[in-house]
Amino acid sequence: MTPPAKLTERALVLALTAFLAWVPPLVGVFSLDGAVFGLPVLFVYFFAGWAIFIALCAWITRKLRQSAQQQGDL
Amino acid sequence: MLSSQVVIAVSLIYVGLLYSIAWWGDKRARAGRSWVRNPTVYTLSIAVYCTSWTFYGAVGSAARNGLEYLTIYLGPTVIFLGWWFLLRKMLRISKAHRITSIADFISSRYGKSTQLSVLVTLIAVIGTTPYIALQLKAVATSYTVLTVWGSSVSGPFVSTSHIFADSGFWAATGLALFGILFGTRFIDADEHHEGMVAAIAFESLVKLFALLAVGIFVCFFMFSGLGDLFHQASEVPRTASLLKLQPESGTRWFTLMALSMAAILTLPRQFQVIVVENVDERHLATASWAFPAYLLLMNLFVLPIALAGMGLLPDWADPDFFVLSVPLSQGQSLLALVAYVGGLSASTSMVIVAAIALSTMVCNDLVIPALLRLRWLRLTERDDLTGLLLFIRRASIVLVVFMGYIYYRSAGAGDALAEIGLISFAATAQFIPIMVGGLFWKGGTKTGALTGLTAGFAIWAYTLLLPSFADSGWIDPKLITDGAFGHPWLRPEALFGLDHFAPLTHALIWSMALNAGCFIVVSLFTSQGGLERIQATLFVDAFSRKGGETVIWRSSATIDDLYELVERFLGRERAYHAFRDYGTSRHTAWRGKGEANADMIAFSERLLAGSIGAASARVMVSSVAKGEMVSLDEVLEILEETSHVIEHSQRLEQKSRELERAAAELRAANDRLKELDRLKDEFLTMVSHEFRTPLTSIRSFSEILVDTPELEAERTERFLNVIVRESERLTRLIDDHLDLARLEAGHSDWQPGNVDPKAVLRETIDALEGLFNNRDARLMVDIGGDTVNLFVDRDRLTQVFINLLSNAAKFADPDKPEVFVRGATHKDGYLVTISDNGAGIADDEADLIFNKFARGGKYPGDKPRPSGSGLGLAISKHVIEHCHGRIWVESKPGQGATFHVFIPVARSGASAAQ
Repeated sequence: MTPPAKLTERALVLALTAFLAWVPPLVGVFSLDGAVFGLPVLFVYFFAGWAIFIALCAWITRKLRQSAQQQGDL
Repeated sequence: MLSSQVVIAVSLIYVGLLYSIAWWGDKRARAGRSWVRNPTVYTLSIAVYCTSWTFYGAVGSAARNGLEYLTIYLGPTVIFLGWWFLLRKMLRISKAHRITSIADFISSRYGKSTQLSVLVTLIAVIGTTPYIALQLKAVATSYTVLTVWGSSVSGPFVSTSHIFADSGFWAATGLALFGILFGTRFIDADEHHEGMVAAIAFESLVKLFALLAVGIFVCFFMFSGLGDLFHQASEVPRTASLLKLQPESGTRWFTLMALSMAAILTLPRQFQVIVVENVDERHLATASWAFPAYLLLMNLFVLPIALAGMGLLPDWADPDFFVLSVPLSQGQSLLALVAYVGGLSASTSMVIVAAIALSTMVCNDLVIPALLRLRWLRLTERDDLTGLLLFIRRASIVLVVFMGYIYYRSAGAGDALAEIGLISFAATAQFIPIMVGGLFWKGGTKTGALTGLTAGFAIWAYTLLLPSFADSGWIDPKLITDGAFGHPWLRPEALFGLDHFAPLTHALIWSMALNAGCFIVVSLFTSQGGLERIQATLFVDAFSRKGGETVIWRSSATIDDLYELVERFLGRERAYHAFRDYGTSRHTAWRGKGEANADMIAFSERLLAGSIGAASARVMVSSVAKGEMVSLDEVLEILEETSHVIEHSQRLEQKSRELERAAAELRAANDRLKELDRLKDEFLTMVSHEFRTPLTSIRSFSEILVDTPELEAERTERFLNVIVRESERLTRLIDDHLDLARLEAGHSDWQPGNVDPKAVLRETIDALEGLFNNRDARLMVDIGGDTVNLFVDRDRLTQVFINLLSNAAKFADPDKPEVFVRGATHKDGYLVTISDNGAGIADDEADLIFNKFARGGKYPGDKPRPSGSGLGLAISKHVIEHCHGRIWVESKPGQGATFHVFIPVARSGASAAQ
């Protein structure tokens, strides 16, 4: 089982990464002409990224809750 | 175009449905069978974040600025992704302290300060007013769009009509009524409004459904899919530019992200649903990903709707209401009606929750403290105050909603929805430094918090609120263009000449810098009072203290006094239940003239805090508990002592761990000692044995010589030869042993010098030629490589070579002995390899044979083992290691043994001499 300290670090990195991914200058990198799956690049960047972050959060949260329950902390 | 009767009827039916859900939710909760207490409803209630600003405004914003509208939803997503660090801590603290509002939360952190709670309440009310105005405007405008579509709705919607003909007025009235009915039906000890939460959750489903319905209609019925829609939009320059980042949006993008991150924490209604209405911390874990998922769905079709609206509708159509006008333009009246209901639910949920949250604050943190100060009211002596409390809350709800209405009627009509909302965001964002700072920094003081908040709010009012007033003609627009008193450096939108930024960014830079700066600097130069220090510790260390209740009252009130006090605020029934439960669970008296203990006083204060806020509860309890409060310094001592105890026990734990480690080391050392002891015994036995063999031999031959003088000369000579040979062997043994003892003790004389190992090896082989010849051994020599100089003792090195070579000769196959000697120069030393073709050495003996008296255990075929002192290899090992070299053996039983000696070139002559 992953140690709790490592899990909380992952959770923190997830939030920080999301923040950095969604502010300039990184946003500007994906402001491109053309299309992915027939949709604008920037549109796909935001919504696909958003869905991935949500999935990762759900996964880390489940692990965090399991480890917190073992310590009787949640 | 729909007839106004239909729209009004649908609105009324919808609001009626909401009433029934809220009523039903309350009923279930009271019966103890709440279905509100689950993570899904909790998540949906947080979605009150999506107001009509989202429902209508996001589309408008997307039509103006492209994907920038997403920032308002990505910010909260970031906060929820990091729920473990901020939200969880806020929740834990609020539950422990029975926090009922954001003002309560902040004032509790800074020593239950009334000044601070008043200030926070004022800011929250003033900051939320434009936001409520925005909702009323959305309701009124959406009604107009729906009923007069086709006639012009191009001009800014200014309600010049009579107040009773204004749909905004009726919306405000209805919402105030709803808030009163479900926000203040009774004074709850922990401020849970389950009926309201149920209604809000339902509304979140409705608005999501409505927006998705419009989005799907637009994408799949008006266009053949998202791809088609985007393709068509990319061919028109005006809409194509919306698909990419706007060139100048860098700082604005960043500002909006920061604002929305702050807003999800500090908007009073968000604090209400996330923190106050939360019944189980585990629900937050689910919401951490479910709420972002809701936001994603809510926003998925916003840009497509905006693009469709821009492509299809005439220029005068307000983008803020594309959600309605696009379906209407396609003749889809029913869909437009669904969208209208969605927008209505988005507006109403915001106003209801905001009104209830703000009324709690106005009542607990503004009115009650004021009334308590008016001694002539004799508030503390009144019998039943629940009625008064309810009245204050109801009046506050009406006040809050109608302040919004007034702002909407007079000031907010001209702006786009999103711009009004952002003014609100910027106001409540002022709480962030003292809130987040207070959660993680014990040093923040009340004075610092008051200074920072005042400074930040003043800047907000000057740079954002004032210009919005000027826009609506309330004040002279000259103030904006020329600055206050005609000083250009005081221009509200370019303070101190900072004019490179948009007004919002400009306001945020100044207010946040001053707010956080004052908070930190003033905190560093002021000191905390006792209660402040206690609360700071309790907040910052929320997770390290279990059940961290501080009892800070010294008993001097009777139980009945406390009971009556609580009864006045909570009502007869609730006070009875609370005290009875407390008495049963602690096995203590809960009625009577007896003295209440400190725990009971603290319990009463917590109960009161639940209904009138921490600061007021403190004042009320102190009016009854006549005695002294335990001096705060004393409490602080107790707290600090506890910290010391915790620290001490941690140190003890560490020490015991160290001890354990030391014990393990000792055990290992002991085992090693035992092993050495055993080796010593073995060694002595071996020495005795080795010495006894020649001695026995000498003695027995001597005895024969003594006993039989008549022995013939030939035998006598043979016996004497044996005696001499054995004596020599004994001498050699003793010499070797002494030599080894000297080597081990380090007393040996070393005479190192530059030596060519090749020459030494060659000389040794020559000297031993006789030995090899005697045994008919075949000797193969290959001494190659460059000449290398080693700094070693030449005689010792010769000794080692003699030893290894004679061993090889001795142990080679007796029938066909072969020995192979190789010498090779390496870049950092010299390697000698001596192999024989004898019986070899077992793996487990490969290291042992370098020990004293150790020999290869089994010698094949029961042949007598070659004689030797058994010390040769031990001496060799010592010598080689003294030269920093290495000696080792590789062998396979039956295939001979190979000894390797490697001596490195000494880095300097001195180190080899040591």
